[in-house]
Amino acid sequence: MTAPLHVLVVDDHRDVCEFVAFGLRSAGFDVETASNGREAIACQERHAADVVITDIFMPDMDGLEAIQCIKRLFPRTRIVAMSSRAGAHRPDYLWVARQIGADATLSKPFGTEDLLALVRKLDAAPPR
Amino acid sequence: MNAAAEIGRNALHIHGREIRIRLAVLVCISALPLVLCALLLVWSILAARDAAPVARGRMAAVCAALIMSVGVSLGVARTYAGRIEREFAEYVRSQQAEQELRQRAEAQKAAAESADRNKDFFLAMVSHELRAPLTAVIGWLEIGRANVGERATVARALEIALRNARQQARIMDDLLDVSRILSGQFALERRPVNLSRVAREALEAARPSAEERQVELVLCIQEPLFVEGDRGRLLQAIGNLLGNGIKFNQAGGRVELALERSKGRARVTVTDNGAGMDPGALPHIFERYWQGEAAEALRRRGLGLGLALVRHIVELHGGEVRAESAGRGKGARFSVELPLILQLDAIAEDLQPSPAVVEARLSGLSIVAVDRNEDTLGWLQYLLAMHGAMTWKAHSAEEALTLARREHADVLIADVADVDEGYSLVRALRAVPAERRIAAVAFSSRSGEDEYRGALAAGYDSFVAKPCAANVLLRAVCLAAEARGA
Repeated sequence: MTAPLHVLVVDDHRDVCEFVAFGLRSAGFDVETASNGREAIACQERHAADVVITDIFMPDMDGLEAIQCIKRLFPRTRIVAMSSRAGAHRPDYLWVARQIGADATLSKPFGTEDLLALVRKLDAAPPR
Repeated sequence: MNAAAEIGRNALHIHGREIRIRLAVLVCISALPLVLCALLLVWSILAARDAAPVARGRMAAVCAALIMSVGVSLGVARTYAGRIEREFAEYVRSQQAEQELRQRAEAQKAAAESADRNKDFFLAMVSHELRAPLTAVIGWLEIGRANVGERATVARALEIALRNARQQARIMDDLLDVSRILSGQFALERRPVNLSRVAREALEAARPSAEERQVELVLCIQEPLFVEGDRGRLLQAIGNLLGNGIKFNQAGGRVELALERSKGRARVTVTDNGAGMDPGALPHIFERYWQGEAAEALRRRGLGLGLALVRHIVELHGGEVRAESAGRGKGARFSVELPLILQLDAIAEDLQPSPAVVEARLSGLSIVAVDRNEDTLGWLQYLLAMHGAMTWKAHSAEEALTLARREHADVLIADVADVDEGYSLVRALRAVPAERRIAAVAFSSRSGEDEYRGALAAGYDSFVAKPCAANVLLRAVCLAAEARGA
């Protein structure tokens, strides 16, 4: 038996953050939460997660900064960027997130099934 | 000035050759008379030697001819110079007009582009603002459905979904308000409003979000103030200012809501020790959709409509709103000033207390009445006693002050015909914090606008003109007492 996948969820919208965390916990993952990029980096430094799921627009340190930082400091951590703005206007921040190192993206709103399918797929694929 | 000089330079440059040729012609024409004069001089010297009469006649004829030609050539030169000047001025004018047109077109284009950008950005923000809560609504409803057997989970899911749906409803309300403002259909329902009560309510409404963000809320109301306006809209305006102070603050921060009287107006101040603003941003913060730097706006929630709505509401009430900040990270202070209702007995009928309410309100109150006229005092004492209040009669301000302190008065009814004495009496009461709870009613036979304003500015809660009906006085006393919480 391997240890459960450790996932860090980062979103300043508490209800969204908890919804993602709840879905992941029910599926048996080990979940931590943070409300901005700075907190996320602090969590990573304590215990690097296997997967970080982060919102893009957050106060203090936003998701794009956090993605770059995590990519540099924790190359083995896979990153999912989530945002509600995909395609709504230019630039498409989810596309930008992919360019700077996110492994996958989730466009809000999404359901628990999409979320779990994506995380399982990332888990199955070896880190880049 | 610079633009004109520039056009002049351009004109010379473009038309340089043509103008140079014309100037050369001009110089030639102007030089011609000089050459002719020189020739005339030489010829007259030569002619002077030969003094034959025939020669003299010839000399005179030639001189006349030369003088004429000098005159003609000077005339031609002047006309020619005038023409060049006119053409040049014409050219400069046309260039200026063209440049103005060009500048205007550019400005219009820039404004249109900026409006377009703002609109795009605003639409993107709206979509984001509506989708963020939608993510929570859908997500939590799904969780609820998947765990339908677990009561606690379902309850929590419904609670969160509801909260987020309500947030969306609030966003829609704001958008609707803005659209009403834009189409000129934003109207107020005007009635007398106790602003102190509205402030308390706004503070209570803001409490949950303040607690969530761990921001301390402080209320500082010195006295009750009445304004004429739309209760719901005033609540919304104060709520938006509080929400703003909470939103741009950090855990452990503080937002203070104060209400005070200032130069005959009611002033609501919301002070926070949060993010603050650059002084350069201050003129823009009440504009629609403005939310600080665009890049920063993306990180915050909200559409940047709150302050624009505040300004609109306040201005419809005949008031004004101001913002101050010492700079980034140094907090901000928003103040709203609204015209006070000058006369409590002008308050609408629905605020007129029924006899039972008057009785309940006045019963047991300790009232000091001051007037030089013993008959008036007697009437007051009788009237108030009928409604269960204890009245102490005073004949001078000094006596009234002593009685009010000794008897722990709840209400002061003072004749302010002698303005100096009447005003200093209430000022003396207001100067002592413990005595600020005393409701004060001014009573005067001089009842002009200045007297109303003066009495309220001095610290009276209401002004009643003499002579008055019993119910007018009772209502004024009731409202003043209620306002002071007596």
